[in-house]
Amino acid sequence: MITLKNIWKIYDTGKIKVDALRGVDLTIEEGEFVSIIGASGSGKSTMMNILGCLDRPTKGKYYLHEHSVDTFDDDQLAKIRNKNVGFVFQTFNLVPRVTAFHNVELPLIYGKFKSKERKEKVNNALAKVSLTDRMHHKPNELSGGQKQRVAIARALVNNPSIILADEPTGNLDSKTTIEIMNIFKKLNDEGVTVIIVTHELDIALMTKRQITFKDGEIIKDEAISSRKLGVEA
Amino acid sequence: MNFIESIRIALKALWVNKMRSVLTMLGIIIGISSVIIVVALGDGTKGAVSNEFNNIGANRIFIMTNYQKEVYDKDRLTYEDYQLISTVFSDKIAAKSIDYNFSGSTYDMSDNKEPISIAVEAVSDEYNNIESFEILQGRFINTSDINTRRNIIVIEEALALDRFQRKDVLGEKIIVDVNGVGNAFIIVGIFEPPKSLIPAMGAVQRKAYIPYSTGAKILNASQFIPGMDFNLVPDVNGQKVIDEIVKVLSRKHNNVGEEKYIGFSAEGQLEIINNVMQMLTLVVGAIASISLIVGGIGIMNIMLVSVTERTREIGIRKAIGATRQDILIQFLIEAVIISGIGGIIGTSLGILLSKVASNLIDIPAQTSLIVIIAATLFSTLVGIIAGLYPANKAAKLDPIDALRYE
Repeated sequence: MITLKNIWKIYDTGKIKVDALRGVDLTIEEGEFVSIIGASGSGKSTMMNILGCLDRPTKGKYYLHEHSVDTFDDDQLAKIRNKNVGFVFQTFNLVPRVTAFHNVELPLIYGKFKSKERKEKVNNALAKVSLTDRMHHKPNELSGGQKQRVAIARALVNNPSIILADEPTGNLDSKTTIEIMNIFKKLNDEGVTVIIVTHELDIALMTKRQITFKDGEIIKDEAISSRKLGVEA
Repeated sequence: MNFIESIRIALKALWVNKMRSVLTMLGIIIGISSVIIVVALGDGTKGAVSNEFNNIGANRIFIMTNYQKEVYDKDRLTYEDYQLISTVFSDKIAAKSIDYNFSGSTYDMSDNKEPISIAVEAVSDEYNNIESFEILQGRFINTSDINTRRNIIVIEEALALDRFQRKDVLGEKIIVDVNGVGNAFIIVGIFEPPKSLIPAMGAVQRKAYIPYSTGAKILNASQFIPGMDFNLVPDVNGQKVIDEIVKVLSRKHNNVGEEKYIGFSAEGQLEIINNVMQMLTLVVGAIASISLIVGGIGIMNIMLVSVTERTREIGIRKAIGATRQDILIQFLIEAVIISGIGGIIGTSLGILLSKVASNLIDIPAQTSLIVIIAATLFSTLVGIIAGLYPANKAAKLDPIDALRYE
């Protein structure tokens, strides 16, 4: 479903050239639960931006389903993000002024869904993260875990091909971390492809496949046999 | 994203910063309302001036000897000329008169008060169809008065009050001094002059009409007349008739091409005044619209602040699928809402204030629908122009940088 072939990302500031990604080849199938792990500067954030269609590779081919994403322009990328990618960020990134409901509704508004259909989908998404009772609260009235659940609901509301989470538990305590990871696991069990970018091995071990980055290259790509998830919960 | 959704989002964003939105709007409100006030008072004055000319007689013309040229006795206008023109142009003339103007004064003999100054006009029996005034009591001059050079007079009601301290003075005798000679007149009519917008300059002169034949007698006038006054039938072009009359007169006096006669039409005068008023309104209006530009800059400024403040939000929106156009429209609509609402409030305030101002300074105010529509459209345009740069800046933001923005 996701196929990366010889992906390079080169930041050229004029004076210095930085190779953030150096010829990455990667395939992720539908329904996988993947973690991308690496130290800062390893290229994992750049990887996430490219996977999430926020950025284009300097060189190489990226296929998301049938789409040849590396050739897309900004507006086409925006549409792909809207339909195929759900983002979850470390800092939640909710729009502060509006309610949880409206935050979850946003992708559907940009996806041009009718109001009735939007309402139904938002309610379903919020139910999946068990936050129906909080939907009319604004982000500043929610706890960190609740905020991240709103963000997850927003990520999955448009039935994307992949959910891309960038350090989703980085700002959460360990108990809430387990809670959030359990939600990802549950979504994955339902067939959603989940990719988590992290620098914590603990988190990576809760997924099914661990891809390790170093200096812009994949140095290790292994299946995780013993699922730790749920054990500590 | 659909349009109504964009408006909802924009309104929400503005609502969060209520104070800021209102203050920004204030710039537009002040700009639009001052333009509306200036234009309303300008148009109102123009309307009042036209009205004034209607009192005088909108289709009135006046022919006189052009004393800027060398004028000999053979060139001067005579009573005969007056009769000739009246006959030749009878199908175009609704009312005609000769017009001698001179000053007189009257004394209240009983208690030795200050003399009352009178502007006497010696005119024909048709003069009340040239200048519009209302006969309150009695009658105007008639043909028999003219034929018999009768010493009768039609006076302004204010003169009756000044002279007799009462209004019912028909049949009373009044002595009018002209050049040191007293002339006795019998009052046959009392009239009310039309209300004038233009205030009397200097000493107030009361008005009175006497037959032109009587006037000529008093002035010891020869066969020469100072000028002719005509009210034309409706829909006749005043300037054209003037040209024709001048042609006929020149031919008769054998001075074609020497410009010995000159005519004025009320229409032409009105046009000149209207042009001046238009110019004045335009200039003052242009000055007032500078405040609109300032208002526009205010909007642009606040939108730039808003874009910077919401950089992260823009990043979020882009990450979840907002296109450039979605973001552009969102911010543009915000700017247009500020200026549009500002425009509507400004227009209403402008109409209200021009009414108030009109009451205070006694100039009529006139607000036309076109001005209201133009003002609202213009304020919207200001919003679009002011919003375009900030909105474009927002739309062009790179989602990765925007998401990283602290």
